[in-house]
Amino acid sequence: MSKVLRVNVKTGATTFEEAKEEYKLLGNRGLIARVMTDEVNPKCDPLGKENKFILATGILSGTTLPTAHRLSAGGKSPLTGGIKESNVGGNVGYMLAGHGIKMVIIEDIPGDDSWKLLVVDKSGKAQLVPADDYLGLNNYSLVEKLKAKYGNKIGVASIGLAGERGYRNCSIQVTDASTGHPSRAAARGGMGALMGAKKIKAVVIDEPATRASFNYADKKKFDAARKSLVEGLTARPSATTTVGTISVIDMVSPMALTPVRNYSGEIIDIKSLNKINGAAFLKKLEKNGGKNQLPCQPGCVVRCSNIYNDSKGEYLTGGFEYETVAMCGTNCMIDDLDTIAKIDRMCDDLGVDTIETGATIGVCMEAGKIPWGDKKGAIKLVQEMIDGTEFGKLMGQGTEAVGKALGVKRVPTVKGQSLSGYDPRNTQIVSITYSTSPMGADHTAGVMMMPNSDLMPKQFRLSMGVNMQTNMATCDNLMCMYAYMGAMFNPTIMPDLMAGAFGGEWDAAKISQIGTDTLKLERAFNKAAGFTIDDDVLPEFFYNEPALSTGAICDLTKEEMAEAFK
Amino acid sequence: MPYNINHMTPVLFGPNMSMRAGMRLKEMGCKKVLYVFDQGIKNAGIPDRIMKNAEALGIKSYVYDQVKADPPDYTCEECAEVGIKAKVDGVVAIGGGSSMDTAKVANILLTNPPPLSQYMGFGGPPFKPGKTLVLIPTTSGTGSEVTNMAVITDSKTGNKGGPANNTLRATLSIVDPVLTVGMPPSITADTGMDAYCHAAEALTSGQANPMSDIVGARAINLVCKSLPVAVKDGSNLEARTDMSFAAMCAGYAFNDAITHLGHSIGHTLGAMYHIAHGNACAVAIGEIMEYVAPGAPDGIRRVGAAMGLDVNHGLSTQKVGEMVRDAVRKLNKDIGLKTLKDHGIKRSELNAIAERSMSGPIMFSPRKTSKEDLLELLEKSYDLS
Repeated sequence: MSKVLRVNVKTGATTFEEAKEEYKLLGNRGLIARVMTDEVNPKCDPLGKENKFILATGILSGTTLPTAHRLSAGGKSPLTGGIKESNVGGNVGYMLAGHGIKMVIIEDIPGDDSWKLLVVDKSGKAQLVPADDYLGLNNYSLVEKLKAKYGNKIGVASIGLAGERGYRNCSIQVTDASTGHPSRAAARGGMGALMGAKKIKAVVIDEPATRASFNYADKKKFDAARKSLVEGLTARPSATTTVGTISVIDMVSPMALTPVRNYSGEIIDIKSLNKINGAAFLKKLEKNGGKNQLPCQPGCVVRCSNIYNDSKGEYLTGGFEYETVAMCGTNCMIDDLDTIAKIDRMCDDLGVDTIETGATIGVCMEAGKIPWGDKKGAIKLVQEMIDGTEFGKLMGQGTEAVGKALGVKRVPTVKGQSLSGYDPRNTQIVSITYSTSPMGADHTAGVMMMPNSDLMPKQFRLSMGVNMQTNMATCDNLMCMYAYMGAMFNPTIMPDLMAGAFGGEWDAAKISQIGTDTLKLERAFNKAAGFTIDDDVLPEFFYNEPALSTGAICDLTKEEMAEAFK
Repeated sequence: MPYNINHMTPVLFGPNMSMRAGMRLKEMGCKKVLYVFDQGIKNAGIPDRIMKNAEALGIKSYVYDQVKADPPDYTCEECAEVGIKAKVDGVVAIGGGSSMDTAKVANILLTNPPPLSQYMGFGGPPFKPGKTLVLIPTTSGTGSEVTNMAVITDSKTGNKGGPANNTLRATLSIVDPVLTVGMPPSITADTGMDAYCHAAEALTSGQANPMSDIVGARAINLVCKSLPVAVKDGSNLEARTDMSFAAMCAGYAFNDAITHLGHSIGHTLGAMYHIAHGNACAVAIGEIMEYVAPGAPDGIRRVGAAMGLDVNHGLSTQKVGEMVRDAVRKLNKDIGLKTLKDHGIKRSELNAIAERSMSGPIMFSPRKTSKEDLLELLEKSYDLS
């Protein structure tokens, strides 16, 4: 798994090179941090020629480890202006690994207005081909058309109209291993806008004629550790498996972590909760012939993905997640799963982040543009983004841009990116993540459900916050967090997997160092890009407005957080 | 001398923490809760957020909003009836001492047979614990949020008294200084001096102990520092927070040490003239401190030191008592506390007040106290304006 595919969209050149030695024990997020540090001017224009668009696979990609094939999209974010890594399941990471490709680096910008597909064929040959026939298509029809041309077994990472138009809330949609639909999203940070700036409409990876094999140092050791992990994950499947990530709402909404009414800090009313929680979701699946417990990437044993059908029993969306329900649902006082699922489908199709979109709708509601809970109004706003109306284009620039334009005071963003489904006052570890993560406000950079954490000492919170971010940065080099969490219950699993794959001595500290190094590189990149500790703050209202559910406020200062990272 | 420490009621303390009541109720397993408050608290809208948050978590609300000042016994029975009918598994009081004491007593009646009268006073028949009880004070004075007693009025005799038993205590108190911000200056002053009296009487009580000394001294210290500020500027959250903490500490202090003369007089003035409890207890507290000093030489020095007075350098106990008296008179004046005269009481009525004050907590006085002693204290403090 050591090939790097380098693509120059100006010259059209596609070349393979061997990954540098120091890249071999990095994956996904760490790999992106390293390449950005080595190759990209931190002060560059995110949509200009100096920025690079990177697709990276995990350290253990190519192995038989479940969830080792997450795909990361990275570069300098058009949304935050900082370094960005946004990862996604689906089948593209697995496809790349099958060709022995560890990473794709797309450079420069085209000299003309021509859009391309990046196609890797069965033999592993990569080329840029004109995308004229696919322009103007949103993701679902785009993927259908690509399948008609390249076959049903392809993996696709693509952008819809949002990417063509340069929406800064634009996602990259990836085909789901179970359904083949582009329902998986590398959603955060506007990576789709960066892909669009390179004028790549889609990356199409065909199934390799022969899968590249992984050269294990000690296959027996690897297999034993893998077996332990799989047994741990399957012996007592969590609600993530038995329901899906929507089950998170049952756990966190009574803690008032789920945002309600644009982060008012209220608790979602139990009557509303019961319409959109895990049980309601399962009932909908049963009624409309949907399905859960699906793997989004080949070989996954967590299987948190799903198919959500409409009331006629026809496929509406997939990969329907907690954060989408929280941000497009409770945050907007919408308690109807069908409406939220429709918004999810519209967002996936257009190729925009459902988290950013939900936050943007919430801000529109706060401004009085549409009433709280207005289901039709919310759908209409998303439709405006699809139609490219003047306001729709503004929405495409993200929550902060809309908040400013509408004169809203309570705009839930950090570094230009919206908060993602957890009220930071009521789980203060997340307040540290939102404030300080180089990614902007992003729960995946370090989340911990810890109610009453405002009652805990500052130093305790700070050290937990730093540890969580380090832990997640490590995870983001390796695999899906749900499987990684499973590995944490047995301290020998991760070291044995690494030793089995690569040889040498591994322990928890050495593995954790991967995350530490990743974070260090990212923080240094952002500093060089011009970020200071003044950017490591939450919107003011989280410090001043007590959460209505708990009375909690955020009270950690930027200086205290900076000190914690020293 | 051996002593009991009974005062550790669990507390969640801090600005806006009342908003967390719903979550705590849920954690304690409550599904149906009886809220107890008075019309003033209701009209101020204070229960709304607390109830809404609990309801959002699926906890049903039942309300008794007829709490009266110096709560008559029958109101506790009425309140309990609401709870019994609804089969509640939790009781939440939101308000001052009257609401909290009504809830405490009503809570006993949820699990113990009537009549209420059998549970009154020390030494009555043992009673079973009530349901989960959460007390949320909206004043800073009573300390009832952390004590194991309740003071109610016998509607037949007009006398004050109540059950006192560790099972009466709250399962949890939530002390939220923000709820006290709306208190007008006169109530702030009256309730604040109630806290002072609890602490000063506890420190000089015949039943003071080393633990009540510690918490009582802190209460006095904070009252002197922050009560005048809170009276002048009710929105000063720092002063309000100090006062909430002081009231709680004073509650802890007198729960074990018990009050004495100030509260004997206070209960009498409440029963005879319906003077606000804190004001009633504090009208003669300076003179009481001077009077009890010889019986509590260490206690009076602790009171003086906590008030920031220089009580060292070989000063006599009597001198320290005088210094404390003067400092209390100044404090009462600063906060505009009404005197007996201000209340329209005639000098000729003082004898009756003294006589009626010979019962109640007077037995915890560190000095043997006669009716004449009380009369002299009332005479001295009659008109200090």
